[in-house]
Amino acid sequence: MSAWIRWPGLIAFAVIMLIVILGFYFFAGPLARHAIEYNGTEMLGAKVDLASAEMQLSPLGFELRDLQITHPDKPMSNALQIERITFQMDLWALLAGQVDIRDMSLQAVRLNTPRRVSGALPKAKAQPKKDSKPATPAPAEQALPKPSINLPKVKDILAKETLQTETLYEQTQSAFEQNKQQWQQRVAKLAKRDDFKQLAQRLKNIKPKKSGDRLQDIKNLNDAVEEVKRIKKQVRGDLKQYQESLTQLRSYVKDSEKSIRALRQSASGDLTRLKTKYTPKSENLANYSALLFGEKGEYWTKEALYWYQLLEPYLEKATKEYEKSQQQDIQTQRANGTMVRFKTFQPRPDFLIRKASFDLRRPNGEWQGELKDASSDQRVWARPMRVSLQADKQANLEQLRINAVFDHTKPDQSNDKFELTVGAYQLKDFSVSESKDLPLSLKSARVDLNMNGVLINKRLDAKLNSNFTSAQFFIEKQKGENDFSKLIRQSLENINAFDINSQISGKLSHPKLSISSDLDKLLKKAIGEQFQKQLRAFETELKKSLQDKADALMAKLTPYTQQFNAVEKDLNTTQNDAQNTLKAAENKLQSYQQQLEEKKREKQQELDKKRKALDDKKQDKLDELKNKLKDKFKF
Amino acid sequence: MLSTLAKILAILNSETRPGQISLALVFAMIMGLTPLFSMHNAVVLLLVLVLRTNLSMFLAALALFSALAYLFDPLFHQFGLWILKLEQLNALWTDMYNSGFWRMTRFNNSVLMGSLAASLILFVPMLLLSNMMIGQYRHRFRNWVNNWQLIKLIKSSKLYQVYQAVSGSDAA
Repeated sequence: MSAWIRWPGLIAFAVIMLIVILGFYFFAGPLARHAIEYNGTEMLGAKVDLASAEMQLSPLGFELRDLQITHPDKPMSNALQIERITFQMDLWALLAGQVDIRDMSLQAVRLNTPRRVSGALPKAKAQPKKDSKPATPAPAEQALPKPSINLPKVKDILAKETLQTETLYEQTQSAFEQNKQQWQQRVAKLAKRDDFKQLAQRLKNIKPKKSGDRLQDIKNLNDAVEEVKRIKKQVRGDLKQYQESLTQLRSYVKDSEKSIRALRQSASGDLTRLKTKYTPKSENLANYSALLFGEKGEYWTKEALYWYQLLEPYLEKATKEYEKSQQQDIQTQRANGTMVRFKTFQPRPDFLIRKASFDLRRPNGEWQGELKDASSDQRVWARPMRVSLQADKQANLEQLRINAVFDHTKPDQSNDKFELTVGAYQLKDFSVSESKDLPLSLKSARVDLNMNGVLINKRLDAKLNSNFTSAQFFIEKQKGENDFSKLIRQSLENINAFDINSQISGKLSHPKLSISSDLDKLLKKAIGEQFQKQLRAFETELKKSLQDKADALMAKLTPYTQQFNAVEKDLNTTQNDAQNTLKAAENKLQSYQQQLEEKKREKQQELDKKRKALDDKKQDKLDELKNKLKDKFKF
Repeated sequence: MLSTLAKILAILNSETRPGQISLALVFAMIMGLTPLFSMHNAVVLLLVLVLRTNLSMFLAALALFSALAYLFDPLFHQFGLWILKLEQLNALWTDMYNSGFWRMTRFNNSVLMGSLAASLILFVPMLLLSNMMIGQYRHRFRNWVNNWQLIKLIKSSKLYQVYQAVSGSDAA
């Protein structure tokens, strides 16, 4: 037996094992420290430093001290610094190549702490794996739109604008001229007043002569009647023309009055049009809050999404790596081999933190937080990761609650939820807008806000409702600030309570942010009140100027109407004369006709008498003849 | 210094029977072909140290087989994958997978399983073959090798002389 057994070999083996175990014991800490620093740096793309790592054997665990994770964009600052981390692990899981942390405690977690040594990485390592962090928007690029509310000078407006009043005046004046010419032509053809006087005189001069001879008298009367009839016909004819001309003239007068009324009204139309054009519209102020707060809203949204995108790969890391390993090319597989998985009676992911509690040190107090079921493969662990953070009665904060659930138990149906509630947070010196035109900050405000959202299959839907009270805006007065900025500044300084609501929705890569606020209404109202005075003065001046202009133009048209009126008056007078003459002619005619009738009657009577006398004489002669015959032939 | 070195060499070369050399060779094959820091290699190391095997041969063969492993890893991967996916052994593997101890051995790694299985299968044939080859070498080729200039040079060195004095044997 001893020919084959080398007993000192046992001792040698024992020594070797002891060296290995002791080496593991003594070097586990430094090795763990190196592994955390190296892997952390690789994962985050930012330098990770760990002051020390000590292993405890019973129970198996580690104590890490002073973990510093450099801010990716600020090498002299830590995004996160943790003073002490302790955790216990499952030994068998570790031996099986799995990390199962039962209970972890992170003490004195701080954000944005300064570093003594720069954490800048060499360029090759420093390249971020995800989209780079959103840059703080450059103020120079974020110029706010400036709806112009500078009221122009009225005389400048009138000088450059084509007024409806003027156009109408020119049209009216042209029409008046045309009418005047037509009328003058017509008047020239009409009988004059003297003509009617002459006719009247002619009429007067008609006096049939009485000759004593009835027949002659009748003849003379007849002639007189005919003359009167002729005069009457002429007067009637002229009168008709006059009437027609008067009708037309009256229509001209009516049209001219209508035109003048239209001219007066056009002044109102011009006023309305110019007011609309030159006074600022309320739409310019619509959704101004989105412009004021949108920049910051977008920045914080991108910031949150950036950190989520850093976290997201690790929510499904193990599953993806396993799936990837199944698809890896043969050469890669050959080099490292494949870990074939079998059914587990108690499934456990390769990396699991069952519970971790932490306290976050803030300048005004401590926030308590808890993390549960953080695993590299939720599909195996079948539980979503939960994070909660809370703070109560801090110096500048009454209440804070953050709850988030990252459910990737079904990788194709990821469902993340989060809720944030902040109660009575005292905001101080918060920069709202860094625009050159309107550098706006909230000097102080009390904020209550509630935000909740879901992220389902990479589609985000989140809502934020916030209420600001006891708000004090501060806007630095700029050199050469325009009227609008001045008004905004003055208005905001008077506003001390407002709401902001926002909605973020859409694909995770390009979510859409919309912001609404009652600040718009408040701004409109405040600006409106301040601006109305200026606006009223402007309107009054514009109205007066337009009215004066219209009056001046109407004054130019007045001579035309006066002329028309004068002509109408003249025509009326002449018409009256003509009518009088006509009436006189009718009267005379009637009289002469009566006389004529009478004369005729008398003549007829005379003739009848004579006829009767003749007839009597004839009868007598006949009787005489008869008697003679009778006497002659008397038997 | 030379004396210490010579003593180390003497220890390493102390077991010179063909069986002892072959055993060292096959143990080196297991350790060399399989991933070095696997649990089973602790057992192999124990056997190498406890059993009277030739440690020089073990170290030299370990280096050789470690180099060869890089060439044969693709084959071991395929072989190991085949073994692990055998339906008939699935129940066994599942039980082992659910045991912390066996999980620790990383038996479910395809390269480890393939290389271990291959080296165990080759254990006996390799042992017999190497045994036979050592015998043949000693019988046919040792004298010829001893006449090489290089061997003569080594043998004429001071280290070798001290080694010879300590071990009292001819290394070849």
